[in-house]
Amino acid sequence: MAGGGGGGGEEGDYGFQIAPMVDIMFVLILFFMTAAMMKVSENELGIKAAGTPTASQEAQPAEIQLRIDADGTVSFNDRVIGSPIDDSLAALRSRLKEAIDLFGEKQPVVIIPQSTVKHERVIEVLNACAAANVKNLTFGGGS
Amino acid sequence: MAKRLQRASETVFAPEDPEFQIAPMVDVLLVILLFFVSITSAETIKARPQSLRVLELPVAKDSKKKETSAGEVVINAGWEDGSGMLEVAEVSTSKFADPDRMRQFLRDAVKADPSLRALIRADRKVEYGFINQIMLVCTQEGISNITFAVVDKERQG
Repeated sequence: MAGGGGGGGEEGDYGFQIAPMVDIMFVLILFFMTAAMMKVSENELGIKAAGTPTASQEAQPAEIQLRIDADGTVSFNDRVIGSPIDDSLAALRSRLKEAIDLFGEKQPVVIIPQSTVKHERVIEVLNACAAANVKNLTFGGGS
Repeated sequence: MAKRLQRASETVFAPEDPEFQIAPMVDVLLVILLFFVSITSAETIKARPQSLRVLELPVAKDSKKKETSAGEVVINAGWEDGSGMLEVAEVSTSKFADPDRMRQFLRDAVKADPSLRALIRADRKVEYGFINQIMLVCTQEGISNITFAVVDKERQG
């Protein structure tokens, strides 16, 4: 890396060694850059719990029910839209996006997972809802 | 005369040997170093579970960055030997399986701060039935704003 140089003078006067300092700084920068790239940050996905009273009494569009079966199959109003191995749930995202574009943020979406569904799968569905900008989101009773 | 003028101008405007400036480089390096040190160490310190095994949070790439930790109660939920385990640092330092045990604490906390929200840090293997029980207790005690902790990418190694 940085070249050597410096060293003691004739009278034994050792000057400030800039080259090794630059070397060390490069190593430190590399270390922190790698650490910054590998950092996993904790985020959040929010919902409004069921039973929360709503202020407005306006007519709302019909709710979308997203059922999650025990094996991870996702249904959109009783029509299968995501297989258990479908992690990205692209079809669900686009259907939700269409609904949100049509009815806006008022569109209610209810997630109804079976009680044995893994939290990971529920979060994948919640994530699809977040991607489609669903705001009126809640959970229905598990079966 | 012209020759002499030309020689003089060459002397004045001759390009100098570009010297490698080490001082500005060190300055820049220090700034970069400070930047990376700060972003690496600025990670929020979470209420890590004490008695639960390390929680493996689910991945959600479209999740929002957390804005504030103020006014929230953190509920850690793990899955051990086929059943759910809870830990709320303020309630007990040990794990417990019954979400009803945090009811009194939540009631008092909501009294103190009616806009309290619950952050559920649940392991990816926890079954929804258990999460549902936690949410039910939260709702019954007046917490309707519930958020789930997730990570933005899979942890390496």
